[in-house]
Amino acid sequence: MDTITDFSPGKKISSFFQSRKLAVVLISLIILFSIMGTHIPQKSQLKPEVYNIWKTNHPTQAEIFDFLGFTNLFSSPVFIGLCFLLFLNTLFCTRNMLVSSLRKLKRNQQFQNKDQISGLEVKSEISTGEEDKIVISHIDSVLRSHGYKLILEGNRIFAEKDRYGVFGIPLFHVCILFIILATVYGSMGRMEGDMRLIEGQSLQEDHGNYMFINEGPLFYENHQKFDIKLEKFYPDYIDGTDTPRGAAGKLIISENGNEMKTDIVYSNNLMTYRDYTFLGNVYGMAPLLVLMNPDGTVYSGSYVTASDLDNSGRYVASFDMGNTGLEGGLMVYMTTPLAGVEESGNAKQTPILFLKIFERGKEIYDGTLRLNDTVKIPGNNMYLGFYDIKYWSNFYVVKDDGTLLVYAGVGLITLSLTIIFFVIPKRVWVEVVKNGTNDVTEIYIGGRADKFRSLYDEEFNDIVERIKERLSDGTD
Amino acid sequence: MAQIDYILYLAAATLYALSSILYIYCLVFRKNEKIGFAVNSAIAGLLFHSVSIALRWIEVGHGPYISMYEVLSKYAWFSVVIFLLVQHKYQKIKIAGFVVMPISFLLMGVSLAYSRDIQTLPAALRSYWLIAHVVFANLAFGAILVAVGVAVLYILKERHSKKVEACLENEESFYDRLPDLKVMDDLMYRFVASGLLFLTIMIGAGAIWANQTWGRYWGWDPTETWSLVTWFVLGICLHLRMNAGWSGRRIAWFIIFCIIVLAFSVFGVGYVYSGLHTNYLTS
Repeated sequence: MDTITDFSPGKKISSFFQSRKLAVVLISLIILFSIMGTHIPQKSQLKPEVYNIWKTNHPTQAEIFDFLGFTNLFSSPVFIGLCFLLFLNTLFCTRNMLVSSLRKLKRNQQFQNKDQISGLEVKSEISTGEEDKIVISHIDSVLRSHGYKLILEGNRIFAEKDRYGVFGIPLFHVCILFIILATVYGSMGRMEGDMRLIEGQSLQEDHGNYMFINEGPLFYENHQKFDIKLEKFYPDYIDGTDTPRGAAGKLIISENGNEMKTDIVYSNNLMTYRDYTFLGNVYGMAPLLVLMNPDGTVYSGSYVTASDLDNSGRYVASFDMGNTGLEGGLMVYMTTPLAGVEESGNAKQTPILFLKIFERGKEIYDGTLRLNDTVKIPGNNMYLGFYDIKYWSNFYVVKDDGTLLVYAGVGLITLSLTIIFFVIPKRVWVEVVKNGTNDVTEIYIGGRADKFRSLYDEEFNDIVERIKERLSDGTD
Repeated sequence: MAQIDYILYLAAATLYALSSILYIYCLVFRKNEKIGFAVNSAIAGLLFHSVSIALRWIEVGHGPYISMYEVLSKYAWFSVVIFLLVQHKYQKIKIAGFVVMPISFLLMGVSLAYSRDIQTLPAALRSYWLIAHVVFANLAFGAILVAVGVAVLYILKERHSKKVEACLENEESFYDRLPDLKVMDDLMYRFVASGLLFLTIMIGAGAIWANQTWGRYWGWDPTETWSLVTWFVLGICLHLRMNAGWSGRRIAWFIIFCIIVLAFSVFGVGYVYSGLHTNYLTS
């Protein structure tokens, strides 16, 4: 009957997934794939232009890796499949470990006689003329001083400490499962996006107001309707401690016109509201360009967001001018920081705008503009004015409900590793035998640690020495 | 002050070199009684090294974790501190310094090839989590390095024991003063376990820091991936030791393999890959 049961599909699957060899094989494969993932350029980690350069230079490799899904290796079916198998393997192993730990906890609480103690690896024998009751009281006291909890039965003692250390290994594996589940839960409901705000501008937290947005399958239609305003931007923020913090933006969150939260967001100082986290990202200059009709009325106007792509201090942008068929390219050059201009008051150095205007691809204007300058567009009766300049900044907005769970999992893994390797169950067995012929009391004492057994000798020898000291003191 | 810290740094490196030579001399010529000189040289070197790091810290206004010069110096410092503490507790493995001290000296020497120019702390690195992250990375490296020292001693002693069994050597040996093979086996196991624990905290602190700086706790950046690879390799090492009956020589060799993986993930990744971590480390 047993043989038939052993071949049942359920048992087969169970024995396959609880194999420790399978764990080593799966971890080795995950290591191998992870290393491959660091060698093969990953789409998710590179700028599209960098990835395309690699693709152009290595067409065959790119085609093969693309086909195998290795250019997105960490989200490829192969890698996710391996992680899933490891999850199942850990799940089955954890179940066994929990059962075995519970059994161990019960089984170990047994008394041993002198013959069984003699079979232990760490043991000692002491003879004394003291009465057995006094001897037991000395042993009791010494073991308690070493942190052991004792059970007495006649002339036998069972002492143990750190008994719950047996749960360290199952706890560790439960934590691994917990982290995997938290990661999956987090990524399913995750949302990340870039929101671009010009100083003073306010936008609603809504799908359409993001520059780009990625949402997990469980996130859809879950947007909160609060407003985000970039109240002020600091290109080089210095906080109360006079420590430069880099670029920073003062954000105001409001709901139905009521201000709910305000904070200055800079590197390592993010703002969280309703599980949404706001982080500072890239920034640039936004000159206000106004296109005017020949009679001076406004045709259109907007802030054009220019970026400093090469960290040269020059902000560039291209833009369309409504339905006029005109296009423009501009470069803003700031000789002093905008914040400095505003705060110092007397250093009124205006930014310089290098402007080019194209009509159907043909350059029709190339010149510079200062603040409040207006230029007549050649061959066209319209005017273009430069009337204001502000900073803009992208804010990376992210919502991941799994993050705190992952942190908790890592914390618990740390705790479980501490338990596994530093809270080691240790047991001591003692039998005190009164030898009637020569009126000597013999003490048989043995001990065992679950791990680092050879290192346990030191503690055991100390216990034995202390008992001897107590007994000799008592005799004296 | 810049010159003083550099002079102290050179003095520390010289003392580490002297300590390394003395350890190797003791091992090769089996002069156990001279180990005290090697230990004292290491302690003296550590004192100079500590003062040098402290002076530079005051001068640059941040801890030693920005330039490669500082990073390597810090790894050497932690390795020596951990080794000196361990050899104080386990007196019989003092000679393991013949692995730890030359590697520490090597780290100091290589660091001198890098610029000592003062670098401002970038805004992204202004985080207490960074301090926890780097301190535990150093502790992990130090623990594994000491494990390697014991592993090498294990291999040497075991080889010697086999010679004794084959009656090729029978006089009282230098190796007899080392701990029993079983004790060394347990010590290796314990140091690797400590290394794994420190590495876990390092990854956890790094994840929190990354989330605060980049908005995600894990991004498969090459350095992150290699730290996970190292974590798995140490995990396999302990798994084999606890469940597959691997012990002694096989585990000793596996630990030597572990430090190669760890050293690559700490020092090598920056040269092979580009990523968020590596931009400042290779400067």
